[in-house]
Amino acid sequence: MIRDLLALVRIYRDKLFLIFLILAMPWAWAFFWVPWWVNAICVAMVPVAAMLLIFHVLPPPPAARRAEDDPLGVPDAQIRKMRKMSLGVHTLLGRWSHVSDQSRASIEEVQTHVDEVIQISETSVVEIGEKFVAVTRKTRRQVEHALALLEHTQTGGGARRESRPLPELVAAYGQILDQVTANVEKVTETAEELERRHESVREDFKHVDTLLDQLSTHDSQIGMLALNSSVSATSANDVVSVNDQIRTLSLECKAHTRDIRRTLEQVRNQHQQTHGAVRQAVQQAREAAQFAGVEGEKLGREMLFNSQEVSETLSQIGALGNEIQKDINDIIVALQFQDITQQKLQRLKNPLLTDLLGSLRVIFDETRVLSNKLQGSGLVEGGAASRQAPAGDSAQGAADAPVPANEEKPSPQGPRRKGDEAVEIF
Amino acid sequence: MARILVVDDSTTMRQMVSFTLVDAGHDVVEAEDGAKALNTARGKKFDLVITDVNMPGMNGIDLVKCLRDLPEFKFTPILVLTTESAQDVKSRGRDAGATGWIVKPFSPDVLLATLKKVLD
Repeated sequence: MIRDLLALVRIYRDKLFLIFLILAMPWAWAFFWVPWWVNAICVAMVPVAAMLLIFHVLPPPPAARRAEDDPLGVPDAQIRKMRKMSLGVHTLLGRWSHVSDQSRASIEEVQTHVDEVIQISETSVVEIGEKFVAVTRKTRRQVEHALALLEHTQTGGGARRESRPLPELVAAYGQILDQVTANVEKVTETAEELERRHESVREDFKHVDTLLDQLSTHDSQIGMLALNSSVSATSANDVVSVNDQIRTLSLECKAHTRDIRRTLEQVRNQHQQTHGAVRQAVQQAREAAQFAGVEGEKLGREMLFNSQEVSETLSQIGALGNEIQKDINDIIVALQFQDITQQKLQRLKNPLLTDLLGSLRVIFDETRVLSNKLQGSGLVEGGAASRQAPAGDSAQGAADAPVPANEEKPSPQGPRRKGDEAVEIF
Repeated sequence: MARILVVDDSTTMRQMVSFTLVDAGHDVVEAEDGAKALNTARGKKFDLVITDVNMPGMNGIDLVKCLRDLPEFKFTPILVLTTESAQDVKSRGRDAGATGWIVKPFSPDVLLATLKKVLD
């Protein structure tokens, strides 16, 4: 009823003001002459009078006006029938709205998952970046340590200088070795000199032995001469001859004695020289040994310090290497998180598309049912369904699009967090 | 040093596994899905197989079944490295003949320790 009234009002909308003006003129004329309750009744009766006027007094709208409002020229009965049909459209729109709400909820859920995945992915990327920065810094520190060690061992630079650089240490060792070698050569020369003097002493001793043999021979000859002179000396000439021989032998004995004394003096001198040379050699050897010991100890301390420094630096480099290895392991885990989230995103896309296509299919079915009803009612030509068909076919085709069989639903618990390693040996 | 076949459709994951294994001194051969892994494995000797589950074409569990049908892989250890941690999927893998199950993301230390345990 109300809809009919509204339809008539819509038809006579350009004459409504005139109708109400005509109806209100008597009331306006009597407004100041009648009591208030009569006015109230008149005001209430104005719409009623308008309805009676429209439905029963005024002629039906002109054909031109009807044609303007209904270009197809559909009779009123069919219009009412179409109004009933519109109720079905309303129901369809309600279902459509419901399906749209479900689709929106699915999309929002997927959006939530995607946001979570993106957040985790971004966190992983940030973590990867931080780890790479840490690795870079540690590697740079390693290089700095290595360069400092290299500079320290090569040039001896640096603030905490407690030992000479290795080249200087090697040069110092070379100098010490040269000095020790020179001293050893001197000791060798001294030993050779001693050998020569020993040989000379041996020759002197041979000479002394020869002299002693001659003295012994002379002594025997003198004794024999003395015995012969005492036994067989018969004349003065013989005595003189024997005495001459004895004098000669005595002179030779004196000469040999002098030779022996001289030889012994030479031996004593050579012994003294040898003793001095030995003392000198011993002194040189002792000094060389002391020098080598002192310098060697100093160099040893410096090389020990250098080796400790190298060992300390190497241990620092090793510790940094372990930390780098740990960071690399963390990077590997973070990259896996990144890869897993990307795969999950990839797998989320197909269920979302399937849900949307299912919703489109439901809407298409409802639309086709409504189209069939409209065609069956005879109110419209069959163009509506034909206009719907291509979209429906495309939707149907899209809905039937194959989904890879291996694509599985994303895990409901979402991406796993780091440190949840699970290993199981069957 | 072991000869290991690594099967995963993700290039990043294959690189991570290969990096870890090669760094530990192993010889690694890569395949990007089950079918290619099966073709690679036929007539060749591997000491260990590491495979993902969700792959295009032939998935990991089917690959394990096919490898177990090959005489040269009847007793070869096969580890499944996947994001799947559901018990029913694990059971399917165990029934197919998998030796072990490692859930991604893996730690290199854990992977190498598991390898050592399986290879020993």
